[in-house]
Amino acid sequence: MVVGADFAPIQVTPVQLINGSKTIQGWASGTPADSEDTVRFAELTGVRPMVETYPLEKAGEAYARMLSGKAQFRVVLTM
Amino acid sequence: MATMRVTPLPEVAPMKAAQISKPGADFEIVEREIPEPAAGEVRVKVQACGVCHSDMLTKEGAWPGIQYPRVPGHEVAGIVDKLGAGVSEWKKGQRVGVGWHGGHDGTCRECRRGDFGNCRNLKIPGISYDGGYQQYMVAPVEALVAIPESLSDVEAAPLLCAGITTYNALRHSGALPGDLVAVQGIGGLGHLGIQFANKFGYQVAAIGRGSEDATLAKKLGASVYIDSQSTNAAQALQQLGGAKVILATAPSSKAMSELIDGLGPNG
Repeated sequence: MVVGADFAPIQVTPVQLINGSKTIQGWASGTPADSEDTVRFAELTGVRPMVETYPLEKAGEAYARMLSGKAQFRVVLTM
Repeated sequence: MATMRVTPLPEVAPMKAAQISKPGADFEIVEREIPEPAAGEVRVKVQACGVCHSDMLTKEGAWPGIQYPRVPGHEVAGIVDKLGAGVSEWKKGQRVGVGWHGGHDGTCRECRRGDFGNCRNLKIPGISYDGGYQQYMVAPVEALVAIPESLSDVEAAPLLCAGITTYNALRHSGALPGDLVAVQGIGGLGHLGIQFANKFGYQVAAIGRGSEDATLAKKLGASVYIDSQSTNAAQALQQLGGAKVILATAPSSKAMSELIDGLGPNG
C-alpha cells in the first residue's frame, strides 16, 4: 500500500503482479471520523508520534527541518 | 452639510500567522485579524500544528487553484473558541483537531453514497482555506475531530494526517493478526506505521536505509529490521515467507519498485 507521495512512476511488470495475484494500492488519509478512531486507538494503545517542536515564528525553519528528512520524526509548530 | 453615519468597525485583536504570499515564496510571519466563523463553522484557537511534507503543495504552488496569500497546515490541534451560527454539536472550550479532510459538500455523487473522503469538492485546510500555521483558524464542523484528554496537543496534531494515513491504510489492508507486514521507511509516517502494525498484532518488518535505525525500529514494535542498503529487502521479505502488506511510506518510487517482489501470494 502506497502512502508516501512521489511524482515519479513506480516500475512494475504485469508478470510481477500476475504471479501470486499481487496488488499495488494507494491510500489517502480518511475522514474526520477515521481521525477520531485513530486518536482513540492511540489513547487506548499508547501509540504516540515522536516530535520536534518549533514556535510558529520559526515556521520557515521548521519547514526546512521537515524537508531535510532528518527530523525525529514529525515537526510540530506551537503557538 | 450632510453628516455621514459611520458604523464603527468591530474591535479585532490581531493574531500571528505564517503565510506564503506566492508559489515558491518563503514563509512570512504576519499580523492578521482574528477570523470570524460563518454559519456551520467554528473558530479554533490553534495550540499545535504539524508540518507535513504535503505542505509543499501550498509552499510551491503544486496544487491547482490555490489562492495566495495562504496559511498552510492540516495537522491542527486546538480548542473550540467560537461557534458560527447553527453550530450546536460542539462546545466552546472543547478540544478539537482538523486534519487533511477539511470539509465536503454533502451533495456530490460520492457524498450521497456516504463516501465523503472522495467528495468532488473536498476542502483541504491550508490549500482550500487558511490552515493551522496561525493562532486562530476557522473550519467547517464536518472537518472537526474530537481529541481525547490523555493526548497532548503536540501529540495529537501529527496523528491527524501522518497517524490516520498509516492507521487507516493498515486497518483496510486485509492483513490479519500474525501476518507479515513490512513498513518501508522509518520517518514521519513510518515510525507511526510500525507502532500501529505492532498493535494490530502483525509480525512487523521495518525497512530502513542504514543500520542506525534498527534499535529504534525494534523499540517501536518491529520484530525484524531490514537494512535496504546492505541487503536486498525484497529477498529478505521472501525469506520470511513474503509480506501480506508492504506499507510504503518513504516518498521514493524507486525504493517502492524494488520492494514489489517482497510481497507474498495475494499480497
